[in-house]
Amino acid sequence: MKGALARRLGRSGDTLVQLQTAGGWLAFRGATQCAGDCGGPQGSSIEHPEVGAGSATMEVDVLQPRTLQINGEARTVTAPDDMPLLWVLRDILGLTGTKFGCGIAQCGACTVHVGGAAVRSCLLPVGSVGARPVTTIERVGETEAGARVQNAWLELEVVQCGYCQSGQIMSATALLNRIPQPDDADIDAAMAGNICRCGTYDRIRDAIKRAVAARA
Amino acid sequence: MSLRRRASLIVLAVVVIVAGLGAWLAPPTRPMAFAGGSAVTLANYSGPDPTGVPSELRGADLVTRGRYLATAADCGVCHTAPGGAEFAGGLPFKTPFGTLYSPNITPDRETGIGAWSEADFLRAVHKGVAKDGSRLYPAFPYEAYSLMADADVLAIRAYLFSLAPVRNTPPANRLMFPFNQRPLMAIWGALYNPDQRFRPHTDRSPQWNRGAYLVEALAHCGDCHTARNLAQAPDNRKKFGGAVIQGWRAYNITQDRASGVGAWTDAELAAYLRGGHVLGRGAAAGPMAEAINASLSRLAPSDTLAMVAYLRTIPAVGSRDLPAPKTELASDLPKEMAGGGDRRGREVFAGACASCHGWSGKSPLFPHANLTGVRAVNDPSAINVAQVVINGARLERAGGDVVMPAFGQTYSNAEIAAVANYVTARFGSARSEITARDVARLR
Amino acid sequence: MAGDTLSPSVSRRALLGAGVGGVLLVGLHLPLGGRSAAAQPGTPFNAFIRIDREGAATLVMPQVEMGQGVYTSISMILAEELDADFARVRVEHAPPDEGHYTNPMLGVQATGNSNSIRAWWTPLRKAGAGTRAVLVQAAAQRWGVAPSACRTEVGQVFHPESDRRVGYGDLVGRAAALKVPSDPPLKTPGEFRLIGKPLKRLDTPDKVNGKTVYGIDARPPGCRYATLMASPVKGGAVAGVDDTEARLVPGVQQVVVLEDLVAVVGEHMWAAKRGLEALKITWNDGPNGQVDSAQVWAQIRKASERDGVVARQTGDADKALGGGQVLTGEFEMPFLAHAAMEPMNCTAHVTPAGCELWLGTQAITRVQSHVAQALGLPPAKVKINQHLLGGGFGRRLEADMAVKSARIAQKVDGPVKVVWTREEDIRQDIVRPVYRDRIWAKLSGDRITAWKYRITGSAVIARWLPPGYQKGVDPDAVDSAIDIPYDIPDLRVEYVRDEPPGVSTGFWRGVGPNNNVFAIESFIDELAMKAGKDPVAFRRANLGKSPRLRAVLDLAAEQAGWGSPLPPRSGRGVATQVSFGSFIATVVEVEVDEDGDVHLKRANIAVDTGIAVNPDTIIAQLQGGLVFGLTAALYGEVTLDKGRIQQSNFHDYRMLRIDQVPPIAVHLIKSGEPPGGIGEAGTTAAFASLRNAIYAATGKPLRRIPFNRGLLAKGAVA
Repeated sequence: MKGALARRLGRSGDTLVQLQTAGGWLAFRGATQCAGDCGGPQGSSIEHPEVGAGSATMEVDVLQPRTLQINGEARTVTAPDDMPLLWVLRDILGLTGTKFGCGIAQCGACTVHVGGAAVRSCLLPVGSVGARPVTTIERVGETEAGARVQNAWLELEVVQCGYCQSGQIMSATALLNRIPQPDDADIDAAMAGNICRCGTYDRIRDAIKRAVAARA
Repeated sequence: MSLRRRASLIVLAVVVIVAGLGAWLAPPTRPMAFAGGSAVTLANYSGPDPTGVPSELRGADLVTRGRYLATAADCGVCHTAPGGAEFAGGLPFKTPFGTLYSPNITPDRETGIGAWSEADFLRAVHKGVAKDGSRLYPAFPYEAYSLMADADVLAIRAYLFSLAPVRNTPPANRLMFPFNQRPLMAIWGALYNPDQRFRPHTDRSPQWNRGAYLVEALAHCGDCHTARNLAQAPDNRKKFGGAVIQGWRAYNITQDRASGVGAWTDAELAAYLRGGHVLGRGAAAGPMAEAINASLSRLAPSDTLAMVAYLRTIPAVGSRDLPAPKTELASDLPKEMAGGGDRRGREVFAGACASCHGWSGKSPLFPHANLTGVRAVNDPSAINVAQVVINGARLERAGGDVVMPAFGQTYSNAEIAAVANYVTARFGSARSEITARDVARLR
Repeated sequence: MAGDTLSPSVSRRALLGAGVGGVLLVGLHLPLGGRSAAAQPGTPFNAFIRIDREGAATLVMPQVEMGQGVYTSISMILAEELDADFARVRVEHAPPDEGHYTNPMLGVQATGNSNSIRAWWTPLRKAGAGTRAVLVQAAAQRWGVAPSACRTEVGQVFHPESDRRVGYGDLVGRAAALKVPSDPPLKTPGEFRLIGKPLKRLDTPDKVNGKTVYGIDARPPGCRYATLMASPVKGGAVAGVDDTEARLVPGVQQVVVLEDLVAVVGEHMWAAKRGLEALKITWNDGPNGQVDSAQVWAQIRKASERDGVVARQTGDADKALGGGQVLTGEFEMPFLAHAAMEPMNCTAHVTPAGCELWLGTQAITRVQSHVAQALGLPPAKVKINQHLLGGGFGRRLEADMAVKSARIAQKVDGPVKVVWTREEDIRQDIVRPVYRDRIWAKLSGDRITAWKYRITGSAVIARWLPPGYQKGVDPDAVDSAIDIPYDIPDLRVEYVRDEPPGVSTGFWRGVGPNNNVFAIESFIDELAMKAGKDPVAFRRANLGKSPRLRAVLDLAAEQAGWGSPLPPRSGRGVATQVSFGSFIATVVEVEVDEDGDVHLKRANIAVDTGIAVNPDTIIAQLQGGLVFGLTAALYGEVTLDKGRIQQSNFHDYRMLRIDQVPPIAVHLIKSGEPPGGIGEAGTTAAFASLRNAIYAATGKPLRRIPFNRGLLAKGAVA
């Protein structure tokens, strides 16, 4: 009953269309809106706002493939707009170096670079990535700062279980790219979102300083 | 959760009334008095019927119509306990004078309203009098519901009676004397419930009249958004000018451009009512998110637009303490900040907040988490910022809810105060000075 | 995928080696598949060592790597006595095999209790030395010289007299025919070339470039993805499931409903997760549906009133405490969740032929037997692919994640990776139990003359390793209490077993010593205060029979600047401990602000852990362990309401972050004693040292974990 009503109402009025167009909340019931510098919406259907329904007006989306720039390669995937980048990387592309830790952007294990900035991929809708390049732990070592950070991590033997370290290294590399000579406050601000349950924090801080010092 | 604070405020009202200070408690201005013009009874109105369901549902059966109206009146939020059966009551309303529990309104004959006749139900919704003649506490917003057309009240009853009866007796109210004396509520009702059905304005559009009916009779927006007079009845001279209720601030929704919603476009208002979020203006949390999730998001688009049309005509009332929201982004560099910011606030923000919200106020993840332009962030009381840190927020969406976690359990009052002050200073137009003690009171 | 190996690229290693000058950097060789040892290249000399024709040694790890560095330390021990070329050793996970890999101290094939090095120190040295002996013998035969005239170094046997050398690889064929001696002579510490050096860890290179395949990263061909919700109440069951909406979620393939859990299977984790959120599940809560934390605490407090089973008795404490001024204290620790960064997971494939699993586990044979039992299979039909662990902390000593996965996989066509959400990981934790420890003591001047100590709490051992539970005493629960280091003439330690309702209890990093050292060392500070003595001086006075502990106490105090003045509301706290075979003193310095929030300033740990196999690993473990304990001391608590764990993720189960963690300096005392345990000791050290620092800063004698910051605000009244 609910669903039928919702569908009927959701598709009925011109008003609805007008609202969507005017308000820019086209994607409200469907994919999350793009945060900013993203390409146009790809693929997925326009989902209708539900009316009078207590639950989803589920429509089976016909997904169109989308192309992402991952580690310098164009990768084509088929995934709903609202699927977090994390699962696209891990479960579709097999890039398992990026880790799942909390799913709510509280631990940082899933950190990747999108357009050069450190981003928690567990909450980043793939639909908002657009043409921005994505770099993951598997290839960050090919960048100058990434290599310095990884070397410093090895030199100071930062790692214990290692599960959080992909994210730590991605956050640290983004920091060095943005602030080449970070002080302790910069390190705190950039790294406080990355939890390490093994407690390697002291060495992370020292390794970032080592990576800074290693700059030619 | 509007009813909670109603309960406490209304109980306060009783004190005032019983104290015999009624002389200067003039009966309140009617909610639609601002509109002027000529209002007529429904029977004498020649335009399209502003009551009932939207045109899309006109052909639907009685129960379907009743369900829509019950949704618009947001009955379920108060009459459902956490984890309990829908409409089976038992939600506690804590007040300084004791605790009230919402009653079971499923059609169970013994513990619900299964034995209530149509007349019983009408009397309760319009006059605040239960089947047994006892007075209902005005936590139940019957002064708004009394505007509802009889047919709509009866449709809601038909919907409720179509539900499975749930046997559930909510706990007895625990109120101290004299607040436990139900008959006293008659005085409040006599003063503040005009018990008059909705009267359309002939010089206004059908859409405006429909919006007025939705806003005033069903959604009872003024319950939260209008400040109360000394008798704790809504003071419609400052209609929709905002109020603090149950620890949350219901903001100014008048047409004032700086402190109200006068600068919002129609589309923005509509999007907010339907989805609880507008890019550049923020996302709903707390009681407003509940109203959106359970009620406003489920209205027909034509009804949303009608509400917008009506809200557009609310006279501007300025809230002097609310500056116009700052629209420029903050620096993307954490340390770059006017005044430097409090160190502890920055630490909490860096650890728990920055991953979602970003340092500039523009979220790297999704627009619901943007902080720039958000009313609460531009409120120097920081009440709602602190509340949302404590309680988190949840907006329901078909594609998965948008959620902010609740940090209140593990962050101290001092930490929450620090981060609230940091957020208002970094992203808002005026830095707040909320203290740990203030935060303790909000919990 | 199965059968692949991982090793870091040579170029990367060369690059890195150049950067760290002279430090050995070697590779970790981990078969992803579960090939049996026999199928591996190289000739086996025992269960731990294979050597191939090129002379590279493959070392089989009887203990698992979960961050504690044990693969490297074990390899160092084996390679030391083998005189292997450490730069070329390869490391392999041991298969489930109680016959060869049973931990000598635990009696099962498991990694726990910080005893990997303690338990395997001698057996692995003998394994290495025995293999070296046959290699030497083979070379001697070849050259026709006496074995005693030959020496070994870096993968070669040489004969100094004739200046002849031969690589181990060339000796493998002949040596394999010889009998490996079971009790070969071992090196003296003076002869060690690897042990005692801060060698680079073997597992690090692949952990910094994302190549390490943890259990959660396993992707057998055709793998589907699932996530689950089990009854949020212990002992509850599924009453009903409405999966209408879940089935409409794009990518959802299957909804599996078992008696006590519901899982959603999909094309990827996102589909599974959204599908699970869209399910409407109703539960029959069962008998625990009303359990809450108040009930838990009421029960254990009541239980702690009764006499316990005597675990240690010296003199007559009851008599000594019969008159005069008796000082008492009660200390409590809450339920704690493990929250390993890698959430619980296990990939399973059930076929008519058997079951194959992929996971990282601390207890591989437990997983094998529990899964076999759940599926009605013989254990040999359960094949397990071991992985590196993204944190263990005791949680992965359990088999529940594997059993749930296998049961789900029974309903799924093909392999299925079951990953728990963080919320499920915390809600379904097998928590560290609540403990309540009571102390009665008597002072004479600055000496403790009588001491009665009663531990009340769950007997985890009774469930996990029933033979270990003897005569009503859980040996873990009383650890570091029956061996209290202070010299006390009349001493009695009791244990009251009390199983809390509504949860399963398990091991948690630091185990029994956590609560015992917290209670003992906190109370020692109160006694010192009573005696009018400085906490360090008071401890020294009572540590007459423990010179090793006195030495670390002196070192920690010296390094921490004990006694030098501090600003107002700042304080230093000291705690000593003998735990896991190591002697440790810790000094933590804090500042408590006027709101009661605690700011960690610095920490100094002095340790005598006997022979330090890899000193850098020891330092790292104490640093990290301390952070783990400080986190719990400040924030850790799992609570129950309506039978449900109330915490769910890192916003309400809070972790210390980088900007809160102080510099932690670790000072090693050089020792020739056998190695002690270290993985958990830092955690144990945290509680009392922090508590005593807060005590010094504020005068508030806290007795409960987590510390109530509300009580520490200026002007707050307890």
